[in-house]
Amino acid sequence: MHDMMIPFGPAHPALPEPVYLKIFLEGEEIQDVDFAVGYNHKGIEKALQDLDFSKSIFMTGRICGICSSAHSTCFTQGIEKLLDLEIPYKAKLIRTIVFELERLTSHLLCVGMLGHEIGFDTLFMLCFREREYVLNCLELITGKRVVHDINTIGGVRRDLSPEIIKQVNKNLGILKEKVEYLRTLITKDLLIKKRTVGIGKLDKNDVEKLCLVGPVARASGVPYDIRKIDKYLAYDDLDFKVITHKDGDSFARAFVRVQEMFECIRLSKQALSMIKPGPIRNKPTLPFTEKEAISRVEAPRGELIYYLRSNTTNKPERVKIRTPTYANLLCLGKILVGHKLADVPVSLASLDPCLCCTDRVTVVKDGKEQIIKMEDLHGHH
Amino acid sequence: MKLIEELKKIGKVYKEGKNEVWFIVPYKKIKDAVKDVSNSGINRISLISGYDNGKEIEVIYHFVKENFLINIKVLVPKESSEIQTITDMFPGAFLLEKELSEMLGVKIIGHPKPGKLFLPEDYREKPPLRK
Amino acid sequence: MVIIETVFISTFLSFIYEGIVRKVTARMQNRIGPPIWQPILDFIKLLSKERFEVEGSHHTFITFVSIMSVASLISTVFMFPLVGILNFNWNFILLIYLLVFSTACFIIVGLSSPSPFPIVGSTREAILFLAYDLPLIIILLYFAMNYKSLQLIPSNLILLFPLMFISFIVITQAKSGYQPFNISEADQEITAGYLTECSGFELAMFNLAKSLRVFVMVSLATILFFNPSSILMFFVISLIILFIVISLRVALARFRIDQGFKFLWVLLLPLIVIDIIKVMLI
Repeated sequence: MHDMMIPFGPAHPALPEPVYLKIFLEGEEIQDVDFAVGYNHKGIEKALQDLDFSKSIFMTGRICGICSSAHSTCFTQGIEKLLDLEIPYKAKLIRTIVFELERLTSHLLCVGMLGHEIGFDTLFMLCFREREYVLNCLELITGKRVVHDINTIGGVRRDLSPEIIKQVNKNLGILKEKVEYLRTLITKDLLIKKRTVGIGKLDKNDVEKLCLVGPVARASGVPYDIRKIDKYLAYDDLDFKVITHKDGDSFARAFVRVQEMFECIRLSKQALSMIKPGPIRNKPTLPFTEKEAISRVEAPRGELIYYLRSNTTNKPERVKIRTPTYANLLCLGKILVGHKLADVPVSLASLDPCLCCTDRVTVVKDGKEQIIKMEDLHGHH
Repeated sequence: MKLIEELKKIGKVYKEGKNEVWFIVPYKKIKDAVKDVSNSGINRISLISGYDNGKEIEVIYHFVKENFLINIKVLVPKESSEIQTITDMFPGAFLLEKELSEMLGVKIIGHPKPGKLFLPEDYREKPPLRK
Repeated sequence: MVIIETVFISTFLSFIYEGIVRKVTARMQNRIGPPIWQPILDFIKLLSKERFEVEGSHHTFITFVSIMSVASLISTVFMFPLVGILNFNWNFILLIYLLVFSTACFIIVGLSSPSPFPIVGSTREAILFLAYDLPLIIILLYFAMNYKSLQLIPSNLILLFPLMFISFIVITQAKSGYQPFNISEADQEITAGYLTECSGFELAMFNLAKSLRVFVMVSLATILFFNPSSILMFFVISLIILFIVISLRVALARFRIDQGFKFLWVLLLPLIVIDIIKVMLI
């Protein structure tokens, strides 16, 4: 049946994230794929139950480095739903700006990783050079480049001064030209097209059957974008398009992300122009009551959904997180089987996996932490 | 919505919000409720959350139709700790049910791929998120 | 003795060439990059590292193969006109043999270990080898038939055989393992390809062989098509050709094995045949 089984991961130079893939090959063609996750257990869901709400916001911001403010915004939004708290409009705008800038860094990283996987190191270096513009903006706004602890219950922690707004606008203007060049490069370069067009095809039926989210779903023609559906934060008043593509292969996914970068820049500029002086935080009215709430946002990789349950204390009773990469793992079999081994990194990178978000479950027994070693997780094969 | 009327016949609404409705259905009727949801054209499930409240395990299925959330809660008694799979109607629930079964110890009857995904194969102690 | 001098000079030059490649690549990617003598430091450091015992592969054999790959490439340097040690009339045949042998050493070392990554790397190199080495042998045989030895080549053959020169550059890219043909060492897919299980001394030797490959191929291109009369012109032209190789490496992505194979077959043979026929008709 299969000639050979190649193990991909958990520690592999190809993979940006630790996932254990067992690829069954015949010659160079893939017959079957099996996967195991769980190499980044961090014990978040259990740990969040032991912290106050105000402190656990900082913890959710550290679930993932690249979608940090997506997690913290979703969690804070959920808490505000539990308290029936309305936040000031300026806070919504600031949260939107940080969210969109983070989406920019994430998409630039994904396109760079895609370039790296097909051996095009120059594209990788280019994308990371352009990321510096965005990271500088984020540093001006939030004070930090990667993990932006900008949210707090009732609003945001930092205000935007007119100088910062001017500098960020200038950076975004420069970035727009760079992203134009990136788009030309991806659409015109012959080798990129040869390596990505037709690889890892997913059609509309697969997306709807497997409940896929994010740019992966949009690249197959399903316009599922929580920003347009739920209209959370300030998205109701901002003008943007939901980018879709009809092909559903790796090239379509990369192209959707590049087009979304333009939308991010547009959204940030609009939001920046709508900032007026005003309060940035509303004080929450405690105490908490016994309530449940669902909070959804469109993280850079797709729909991020939190289920929160509070009791009368100020610690959460239960926090359940479903990250977008977890939902997209189901399509691994479909996009890898039938292609060659050389297409595995390309398909994986086009999915933009963020497995540090995915593995949050815990093993805490009797109050003691149990460290799960790699050998234990491999199981018996 | 027609689906809400049908679900009201099986269970009852315990919370309503802007664009969301929360049902609680009896344990034996969960499969019928899910079948109603599936027949009404909804095919997206976003989350399955579980919670151990001491006496039972509260399992909530969160279905999505564009901006409307339909949340169906069912109480699983702790002694039996098992529930029917919904992957026949919603293939996207494959991984969500796995997390439920591993972290809260709820056996999913009929799941296409039983076995541990996150935890080690020989893990025999109490499921991590149980009280 | 001239032999020992040649060994040292060719080793040193190949390290410098590799250093130039890395530095210019970095500059083209808007980075600073390592200093030009970095490969020498890497080599010395690797010599002091321990060797990991891999079950199922024969260690002495791999060390022997690594030394052979370096030796075969240095032997080709002895045939260059300015060095002028080996003056046999059939030295083109010996040249072909040594170049093929060096690739064979890489393929052997990959197949000699039980892990899947080196095996896939070696099979890919073997497949690609069929695509790029045959045109190389045809070019060298054509020169052998017409000019009998590297000393007798007239200067400025580039004007007669421009298409052959272009295909030689493409063969250099493929043989040195640079984009778009670094398929067998694709570190994103198969760790380090055929060198995955090597460490310490053998890895140092194989890295030296890789640098030597670039040096030998670029020098051959200079000698065959330009045959400069002074050492200065030799280096100037070599560096220009090296610059072309680096530009191709930086600006292109990587082929998949089947795409690379098809591309080489479809491109190289027609170019060479066109040039040969054109010259015959003159």
